[in-house]
Amino acid sequence: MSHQLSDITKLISRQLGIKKVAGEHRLREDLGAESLDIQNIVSTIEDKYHIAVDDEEIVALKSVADVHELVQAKCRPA
Amino acid sequence: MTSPETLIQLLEGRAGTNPEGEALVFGGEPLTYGSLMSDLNRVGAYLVNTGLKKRERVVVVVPNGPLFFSAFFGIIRAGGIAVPIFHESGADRILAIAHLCQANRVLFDPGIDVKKRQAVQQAGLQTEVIDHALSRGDNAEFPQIAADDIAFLQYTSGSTGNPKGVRLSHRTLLTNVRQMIAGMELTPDEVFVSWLPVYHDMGLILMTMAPFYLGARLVLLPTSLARVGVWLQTIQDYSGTFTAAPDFAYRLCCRYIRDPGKYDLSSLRMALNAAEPVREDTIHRFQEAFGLGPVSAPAYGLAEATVGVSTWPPGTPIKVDEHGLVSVGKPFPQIQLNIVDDEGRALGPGETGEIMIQSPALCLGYHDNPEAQKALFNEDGALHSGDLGYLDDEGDLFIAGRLKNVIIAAGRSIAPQEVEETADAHQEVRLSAALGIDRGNIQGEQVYLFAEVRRPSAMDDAAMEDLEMRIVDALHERLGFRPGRVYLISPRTIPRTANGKVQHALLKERYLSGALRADGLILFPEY
Repeated sequence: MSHQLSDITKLISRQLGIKKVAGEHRLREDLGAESLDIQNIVSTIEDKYHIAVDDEEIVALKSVADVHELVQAKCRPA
Repeated sequence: MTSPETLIQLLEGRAGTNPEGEALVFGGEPLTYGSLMSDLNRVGAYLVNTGLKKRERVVVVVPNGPLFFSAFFGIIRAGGIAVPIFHESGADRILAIAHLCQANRVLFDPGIDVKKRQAVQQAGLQTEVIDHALSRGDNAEFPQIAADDIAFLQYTSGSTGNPKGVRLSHRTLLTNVRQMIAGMELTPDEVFVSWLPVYHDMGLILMTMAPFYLGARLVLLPTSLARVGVWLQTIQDYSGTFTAAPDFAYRLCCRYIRDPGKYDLSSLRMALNAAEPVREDTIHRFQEAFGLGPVSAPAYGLAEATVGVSTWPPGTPIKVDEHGLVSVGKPFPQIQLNIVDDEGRALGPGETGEIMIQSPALCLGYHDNPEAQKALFNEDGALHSGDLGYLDDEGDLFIAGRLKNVIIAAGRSIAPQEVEETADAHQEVRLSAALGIDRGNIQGEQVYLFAEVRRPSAMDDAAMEDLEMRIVDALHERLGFRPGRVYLISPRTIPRTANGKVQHALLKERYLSGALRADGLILFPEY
């Protein structure tokens, strides 16, 4: 699933205007994302993957890898 | 204390009668009025002794904290005019503002990025780091300051082109402070808790000058919403009674605080909600989550009226109309509101038109911008707010929209033109348009940028990705925010009038209706 991780890093890179984004980066501490930026990342992901993310899940997003895992879990066929 | 006529008199009075009195607490450390006065005198002396002239503008780039006040009031003490701007402004933004107000000097925080400072110096400006000015300042002969002298310029995003410097005198500032104190029944027993940026009107005038005026306690926090819990914890720890924020911040509290019962906010008397459209849902959810009575006070204001225009007395339940609009209450004392149609004719109760404001605390116009200045007031001296609203039968104000083309994102007013200039500076971009889009989610209105690319055929996905990233980086660097979305679109997609003016409303309609997507005009991304 490394392909999908690169999709997520690219999306976050564009959303935050930061060139180098990696899975281990923490959204706030390493990438300087504000709460508003994280909400905007989530909205973009919802549009791209046609998923809905609820409040509890947003609060749990700490790193780029967390965003990737969330998308994988949501996109997995039931 | 007799009523002070200038901000300096106000602080001198406090320092004279109670030098050990606490002006504010920041990071758990108190700053006394005595220290504040001695610090601002030293900065003022340094400026006078290094040649500052009366009414000379000095740009202040310092974040929330005691040093901001040494810089801001030090400039005023020295007879200059302070020009506070967002502390994370990039070098080109600092230079643009300095150019607009003809400033030769910039005061920086000690934490300033060396490269940014060098870039400002290389453009020919004199830069000072505030702690250096503090340590070098000694004694000086300070010029006389009068009530009608301009204390500072508040740069605000205008709807056409360049930011405008709103001219605020000591008299207008202190008049509005008194209006707000009376209208909100604020007392010296108040405990203000604020993370709002001190370079900007609500954070500076309401949240610091009002407590200084009252001699009330002020607990100041760094400007960040990364951890909303810090704000709530501070209200609890200091038994805060008064706080203020845009609706977005209260929405974040409802969303991010998992265990609201953990915070005891029972000391809170008033939580002002302003600078962004107020949502009924936010107020109910916030009060309910934290077990509060009717503490939320929807309010209205604008920099051109100094800051505060209207709100409710403490403890008033909110009033909502049949369209779900939340009333921002009645005007503060001595402020008169009239609603007019586009030909300036007075409208009656319930009729929506432009809000016109009469007040002794109106600004003195814009710095060095006679054209905008002329359009600001009508022949009776009433201020064109640029906002649309109506007064109900009881004289309560409802805000219905805005005439000015300004995007309000998380409480910040952003001029589309400033965003567009930044995007257009990229050589791949032919023309861009910035819209305010509210999709009804927690973010509220956000900047959506539509950038026409010159040669779509010359760009693959990687090039488009790279361009988007650079545009966002440039916006963050220059204006300090990131847009909700950037779309790269086909050339000649942005509708324009015959004389070339971008038709934002028409583009918005085409985007929201799905027409841009359906017509294949959005090149990137595909969602």
